[in-house]
Amino acid sequence: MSLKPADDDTETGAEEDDPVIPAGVLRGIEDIADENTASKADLESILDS
Amino acid sequence: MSEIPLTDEETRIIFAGEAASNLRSLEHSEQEQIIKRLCAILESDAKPSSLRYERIGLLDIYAAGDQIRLYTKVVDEIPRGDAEYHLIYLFYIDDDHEYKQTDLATYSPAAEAKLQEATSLETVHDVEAYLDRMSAVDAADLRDLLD
Repeated sequence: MSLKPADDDTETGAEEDDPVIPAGVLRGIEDIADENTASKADLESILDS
Repeated sequence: MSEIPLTDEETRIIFAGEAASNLRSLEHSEQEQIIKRLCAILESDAKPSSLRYERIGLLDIYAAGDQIRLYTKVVDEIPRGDAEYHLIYLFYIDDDHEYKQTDLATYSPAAEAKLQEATSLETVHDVEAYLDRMSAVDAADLRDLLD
């Protein structure tokens, strides 16, 4: 996985191959699809803990 | 030097449960660093997509400091044709890059398909109802978290 900063908006090749990413990203996408999201109150609880 | 497009639209962010779980596991100073970075993005006059660090596939990656990466998907200008909002989905917070192979996955069009709802919303009312249902937070909410 490249961690070089993008220096422009070029998207060339973005869809050429499916990139390898942390598995947590897919869990996050599933959460969004399932509407399992964190509210402001949830975030307050996390930051206060 | 590329131009930064400015915007009048409000930006909201939706935290996936996974991202909230990641946030919980971090030190307080790292949590604050992330919330500050997100707050700066939401308060910026620039489009959120123009502030990303890099793009991997269809994912937009933001940097918070040297180590932390925020894996998101940015949806600019919704609803289409009558834009009032930009939307950031925050999926995952990565506080280091030393993955085991078993912790990696492939991002596919199937994953992208799960995120189409926001782009299909046709009216401002529909978008606002969606943001409410998904517990989206705005810059003021994030600022409150820092106080």
